[in-house]
Amino acid sequence: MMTDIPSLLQRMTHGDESALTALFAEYGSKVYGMAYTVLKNTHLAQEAAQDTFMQLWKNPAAWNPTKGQFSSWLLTVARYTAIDQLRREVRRTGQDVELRDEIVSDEDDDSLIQGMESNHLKTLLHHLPDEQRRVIELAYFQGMKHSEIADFLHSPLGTVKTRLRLGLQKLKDLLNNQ
Amino acid sequence: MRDSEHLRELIPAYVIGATDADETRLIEAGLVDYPELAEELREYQRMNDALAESVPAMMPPPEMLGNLLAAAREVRPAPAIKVLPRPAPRRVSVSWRWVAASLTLFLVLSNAFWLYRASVPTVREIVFQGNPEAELIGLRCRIIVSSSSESAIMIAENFPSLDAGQAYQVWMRRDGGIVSLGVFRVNAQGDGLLSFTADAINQPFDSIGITIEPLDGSPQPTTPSVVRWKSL
Repeated sequence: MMTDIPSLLQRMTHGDESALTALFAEYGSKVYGMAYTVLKNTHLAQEAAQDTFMQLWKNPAAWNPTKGQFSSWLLTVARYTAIDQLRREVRRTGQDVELRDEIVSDEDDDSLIQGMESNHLKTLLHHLPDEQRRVIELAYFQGMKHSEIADFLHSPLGTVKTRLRLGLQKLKDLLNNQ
Repeated sequence: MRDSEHLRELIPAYVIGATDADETRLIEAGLVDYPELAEELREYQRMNDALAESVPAMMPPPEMLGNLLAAAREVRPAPAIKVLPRPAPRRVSVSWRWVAASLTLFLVLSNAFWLYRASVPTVREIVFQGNPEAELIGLRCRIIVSSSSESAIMIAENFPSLDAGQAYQVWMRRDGGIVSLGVFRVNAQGDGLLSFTADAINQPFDSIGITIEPLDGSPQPTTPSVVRWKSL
């Protein structure tokens, strides 16, 4: 008895707001959770989450069922939307992106993983060595590229690439073994 | 100069969007030249999907749904109401982070959403009567349906947590038969939400009940109802 996503998206093309409401009921907490994990700020996360659903509302046909599940696609949109929001905020304040937690966060802690209550993601990340976890956090949740991470951490580019590759490989193995 | 092994090593970072621009171009060209990399790409895309799903869900602020609908209306005003085919009943998975306030939020904002319409619709609330044990623990359940919406929302509060393989299933009895309206689970606070078509509620029925069933539901109720509503 799963949600009929194609039907809801089809209804949205006709401006059916109840379809948007239904999708929000189904995915709103996941989308907001992703946005908040990136931004650590309730106001900005709400903006990013709303922008995510608005992208869907404006273009319900954007999701391609042959490319993967709707939930995964929507969360990817949410992640990139939140990262864009983060970068805009950094530009607006004129600070560097590594100061995310000082610029936007409304939490006291400055670590992605320390700020989390016990949950699946935290459990996964805990399995990684600190240096691998850190580069994954910077890449996945702050949208940094290889060279940006290397600059930020003052590490050689090759070292960053290796750590990111090994960390993601380990995450893949952990997720496959679940 | 590139070779498939070098490109293979870049795939994990590519999938999460961490490759620099030149690396991204290299990989995308290489996926054409080295089709054997497609399976590696799929494996890491599955990892990427699973990683996204593992990010904890969080209750949105109470005003978010109303703001979203207001913004949507500015982009594309709702068309004239028309009858659409009834979609199949669906299950809404509720993250453990939903709290009771969010369910009240849906009640409030659903009403606010409906009030955006040009004509003010009627809103009907069906309050469930629990069995004696349910009354003792303060279990509450109600269905909110508007005359202008195609969806109805059932809000459950203070329901006991269930084992991982169980869910609450909502049943409707009408015309001598019984149909399922869907299944739901509750968060740590005992709150749950289920959305289904308003058609199911707007037609005459005899009673509605909620039972505990396996996670994917049952063809028929297999346990006594936790709460029920009987038509007068």
